[in-house]
Amino acid sequence: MEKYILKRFLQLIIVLFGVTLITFIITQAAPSDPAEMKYISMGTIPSEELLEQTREEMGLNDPVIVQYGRWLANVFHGDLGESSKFSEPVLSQMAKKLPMTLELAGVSFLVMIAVAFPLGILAAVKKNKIADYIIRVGSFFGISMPNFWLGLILMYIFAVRLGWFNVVSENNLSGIILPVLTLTIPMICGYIRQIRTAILEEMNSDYVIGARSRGISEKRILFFHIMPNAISPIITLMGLSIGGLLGGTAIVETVFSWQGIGNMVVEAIRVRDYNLIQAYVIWMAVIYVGVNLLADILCRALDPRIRLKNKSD
Amino acid sequence: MKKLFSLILACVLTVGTFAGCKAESAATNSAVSTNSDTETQKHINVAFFWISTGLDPAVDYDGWVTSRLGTSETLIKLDDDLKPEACLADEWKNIDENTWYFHIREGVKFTTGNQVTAQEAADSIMRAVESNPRAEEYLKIDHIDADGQDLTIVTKEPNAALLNNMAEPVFSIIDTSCSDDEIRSKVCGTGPYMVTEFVSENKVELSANPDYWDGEPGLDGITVTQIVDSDARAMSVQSKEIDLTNTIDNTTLKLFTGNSDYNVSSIISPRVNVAYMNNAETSPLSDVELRKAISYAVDRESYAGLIGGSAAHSAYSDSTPFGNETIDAIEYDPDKAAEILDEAGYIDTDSDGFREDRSGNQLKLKYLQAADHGSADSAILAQAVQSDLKKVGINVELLAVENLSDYQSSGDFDFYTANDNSAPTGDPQLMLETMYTKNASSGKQNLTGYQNDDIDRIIEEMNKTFDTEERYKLAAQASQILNDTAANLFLTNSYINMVSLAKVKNAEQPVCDYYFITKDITVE
Repeated sequence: MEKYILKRFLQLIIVLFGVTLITFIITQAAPSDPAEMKYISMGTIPSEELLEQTREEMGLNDPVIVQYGRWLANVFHGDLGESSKFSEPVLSQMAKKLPMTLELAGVSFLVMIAVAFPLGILAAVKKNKIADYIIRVGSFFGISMPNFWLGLILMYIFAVRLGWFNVVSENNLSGIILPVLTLTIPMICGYIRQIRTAILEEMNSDYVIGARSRGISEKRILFFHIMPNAISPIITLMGLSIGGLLGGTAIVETVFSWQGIGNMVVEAIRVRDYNLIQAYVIWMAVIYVGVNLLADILCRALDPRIRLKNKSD
Repeated sequence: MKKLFSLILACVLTVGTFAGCKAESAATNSAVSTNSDTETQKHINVAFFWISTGLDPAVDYDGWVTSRLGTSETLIKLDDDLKPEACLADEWKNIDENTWYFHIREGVKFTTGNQVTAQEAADSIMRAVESNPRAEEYLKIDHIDADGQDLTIVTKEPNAALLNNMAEPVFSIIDTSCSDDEIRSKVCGTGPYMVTEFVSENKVELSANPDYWDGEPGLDGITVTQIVDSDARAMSVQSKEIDLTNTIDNTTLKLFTGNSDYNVSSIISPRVNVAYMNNAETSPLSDVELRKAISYAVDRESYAGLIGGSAAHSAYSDSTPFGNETIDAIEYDPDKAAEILDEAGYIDTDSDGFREDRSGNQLKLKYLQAADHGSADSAILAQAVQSDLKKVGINVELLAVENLSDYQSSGDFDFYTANDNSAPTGDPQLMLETMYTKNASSGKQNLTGYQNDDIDRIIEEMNKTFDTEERYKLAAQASQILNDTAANLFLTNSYINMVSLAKVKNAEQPVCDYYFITKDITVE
């Protein structure tokens, strides 16, 4: 296991190099000039001389690979640079926004697990019965609702009509409920269907029929035989979902005035704030690789077939 | 089944518990607020669509925010006719082509307690000029002399627009003895309100400035929150969480209009919704006949019905005093549009319902649309233009983009949409110079490649014309040329609005959107 984790960490370093380099090249290839964008955001169109001077100061006249190397060297010294948009170090800007994103993502993920698993299992166990129909129809509606629309509808019902919550989310328990519901309802509905399908597939397996014939109770079959086998693909999917959540959700943040990382990065991309974009890319790469590593470790722990397969490899 | 109901019940109870906590907390807050109100406190909650990352008026457009917050003021202000009126300067005159004199009002104090003198004003103006290239271009300053309350600005070249330009909030007069950090978080200005707490892009707490020179502010405190989404702003007023906001979409505004629970103040602003047309050779719209046909094909009146405001007659909004009544506007006439297209050789040769260009090649125009100020108006307009042009056989492809500048820089567009201020400082020159000459100097730039020698000549004349009415006449001439050459699609003059709960008094939307919170706003 240690070897496996070490191998994945080495992979993470390669991934980090790759994605930061690719992002650097892609953002450089975009037609708008960061030096010019800096002045446009101040409300002026600079003269060519001023632009040239600014490009020189920002190091934009150097070849892309030189700029990347310089940025990388600074990163190794713990310096992610200064945000041109926010006029402060990238790290402090990230530090301001990340807690809100982590809070929203964490709570959403927990709520999603707490609701999707019981309902998914119930739908599978009660296949083609009324509970299954209700859950399936409900999940169909949930999946179909776009986030921004759902957010506004929830806001209208719970904040305007019922007055239970505020329109502007506060950083407290009640303030997080509507953004969490907006994020999780479509996710919950998607996972319910995934979980149901995964369990139903396993229910028809020979080992389940065998277990039944040996008189093992349905509950035991479900939780100790079916679930460990059915859960692996779900965990992998969840790894991707939590990555998405931690990357920020600009639309939900906009609707609920939630000060997370999503809007920050949209703005950074708009004004070509290279340092902030790069920091975000590092964050996302670490998150995706880290979460997927955790998901893989969990799958190995839960499913002996994966352990045995990897051993034989 | 029982388990399912139990689960649903558990979820509902959980939400109910949270909501209960919230309701209790809201009730408590409300009670505190009400009790305070009855004793001494007059406080309201306000929502802005944008709060900047800092509050230094000299940085970027942050001055617009500090001005709207009522925390900073300029030497002169713009009234609802967009004409200069006294503010921190109570007297001014143009001494010669290059020299302007301002008398600084006596007895004005910064929120720091320091007096506003001509030297303080000069230091503040120079700080803006040194920090912000926009400020430098507005003034074309050579040097400033300060003596007591007398301020003299000497420019490098004749700058007839200087007086109006002094109203731009980048020239907010602030106490330069404050550190940059203090200014960034507290403004150190002269407005009726001062900042007690600032959270970047999120919230500003204001309290009344006890030393305000123009009388006692109508409120003791104001909490200003950023709510980017227009619908969310509207709902925050409906839920009574916010007492006052602005820039509500027209479709939503109907919820408040005529309802005695709310005050609605709407006014036509200097902003014009424009579909800019690419005049460069790379675009089919470099053909003036095609541009003219398109200008006749769009039904501006119906667009105004959709998004509010009024049909635009020219590059300048009807709210400006630049002689719109003398201009021949292009009216909706789809038959004439079709006739121009036929005569110019744009014919549907393959009977697919869309015209081909003069060479018989497919004609498909790319229309870039991006949200502006959290409003849906630009998307509605884009679809309406697409629909109208389809009726005369012109195929338009809509592209909703996050970042217009990439396309603009590469010239990869035929139309792009914008909600632009046609008189940013109440003067006609700036918009004309930045959007229709090659000397794009401030704010935006001429991205459409439009060039006209007569417009260039008018700009030169404006530089030397100090008489206001003469400047307006020149603006009208320019405006007529832009219409005659179908420079762009001037679609609608935008409404701007303020919506408040009935208890809020004297919240009137000014024509110039530099201003929002004033000393007169109060609460019953």
